[in-house]
Amino acid sequence: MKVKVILMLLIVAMTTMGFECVNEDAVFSINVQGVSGTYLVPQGSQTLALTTWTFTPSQYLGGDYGDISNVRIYDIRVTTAGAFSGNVSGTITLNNVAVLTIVNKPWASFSAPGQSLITSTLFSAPNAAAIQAVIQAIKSSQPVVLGMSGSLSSAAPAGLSVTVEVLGQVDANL
Amino acid sequence: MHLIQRFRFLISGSLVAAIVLVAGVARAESDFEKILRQQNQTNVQGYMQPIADLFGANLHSGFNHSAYIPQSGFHFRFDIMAMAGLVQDDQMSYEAQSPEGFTPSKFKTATIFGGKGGSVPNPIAPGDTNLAYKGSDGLFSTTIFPLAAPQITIGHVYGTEAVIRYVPIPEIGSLPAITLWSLGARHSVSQYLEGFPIDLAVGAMYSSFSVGDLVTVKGYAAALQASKEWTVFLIYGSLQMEKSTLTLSYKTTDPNATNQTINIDLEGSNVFRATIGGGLSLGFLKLYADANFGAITSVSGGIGFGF
Repeated sequence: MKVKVILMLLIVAMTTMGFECVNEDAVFSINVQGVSGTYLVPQGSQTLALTTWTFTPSQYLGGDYGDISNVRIYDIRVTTAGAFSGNVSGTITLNNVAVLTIVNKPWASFSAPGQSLITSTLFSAPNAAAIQAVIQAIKSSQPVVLGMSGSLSSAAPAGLSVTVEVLGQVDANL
Repeated sequence: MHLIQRFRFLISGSLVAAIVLVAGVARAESDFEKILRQQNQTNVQGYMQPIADLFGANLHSGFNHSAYIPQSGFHFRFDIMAMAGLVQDDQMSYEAQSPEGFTPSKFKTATIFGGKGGSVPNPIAPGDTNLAYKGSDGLFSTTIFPLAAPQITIGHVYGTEAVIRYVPIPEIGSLPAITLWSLGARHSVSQYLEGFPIDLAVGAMYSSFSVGDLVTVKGYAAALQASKEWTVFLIYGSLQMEKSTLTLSYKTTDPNATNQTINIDLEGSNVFRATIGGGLSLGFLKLYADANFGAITSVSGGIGFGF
């Protein structure tokens, strides 16, 4: 009987040692898929026609992370492909609100690896209201619409494209 | 099931679940794996390194007790071992890699045993938290990291006994299979030293722990053991060399990652330990407890039944 009691106490001790040690309110900061889109510039065109890409929560999150308590947009990157000696201007939108503009900058300066919002001087300051709006959309599990439009300083040769990537982090309460 | 509830269930629900907190982490693989898959190699390494240190130390605890090993005769003992590594302050935070362009390039944030995650401001708008980059919070708020396992000792042949630990947990639904096993042997040195005042033995053990194909821990230990018994009392000590490696294997979906295939080997920091302990032998029942000093300080204890 004594052995059983000792054994039970040991089992209880071992099985409860970690019981109160889990951080109930821990949040995991997860680098999510984000949103990105590539616009193929038609040969001969001088206009980058307004193009949008719509992303569902499962697409921009890349998984189901339970309750999302916070969202951060930590970078926007623009990369051009193809040889073009002229300049480019453009506007990037999130949920149809302009978040970033580029005014008459050399196309080649956006060649791979591209320009990052963080390190580049080629962008305007990001529109905080647009960032906030998209954060609210993500928190509410709403779709996110990435948009792009702009123009070139001269007609486009063949093989030009522009890729926009928006990188985000979510705090998930798993 | 909510992840936290699942942890609680795992930790409090059964002896098997007490194998370790990390087993709880791993058994919630469907959720935890999502977290891992979003992390790049550098940051996962920092976040998980304390688990490798503590789990590796625990895996090799509780191996050394009495060094008295008869030359022959049947011996069988069943032990329930409990070990706990002590979480140190420097295991609660690490230097995480900031995304490209952020300054500083590294920032201090929580490990799995830390508190709130740290953050690094975005250089283009340092005051705007919507543009910052943040590390995850710690998952466990604890100063000890426990492990429990059953152990069988069988002997004796030419002053040698075998030590076996084995815990198989089959795949249950989406939860992966978990297997812990150790195989060791101890050999009496005293049998070659007639009249030596204390018992001496040498031993070696190999251990493996796996959770699906996401986490594996493997390690080995070799020890020189000494003990002295007086009636029911036992004191013992040992010097042990050991090595353990925690391997994480997965494909990351972190857009910042330069390499999508992650195979991380986290070496346990404990490579040497000195152990001192004591025990009681009450006939069929054995009790023992010890303290282990090395890069990781840990304690272990157990209850054994046998003859």
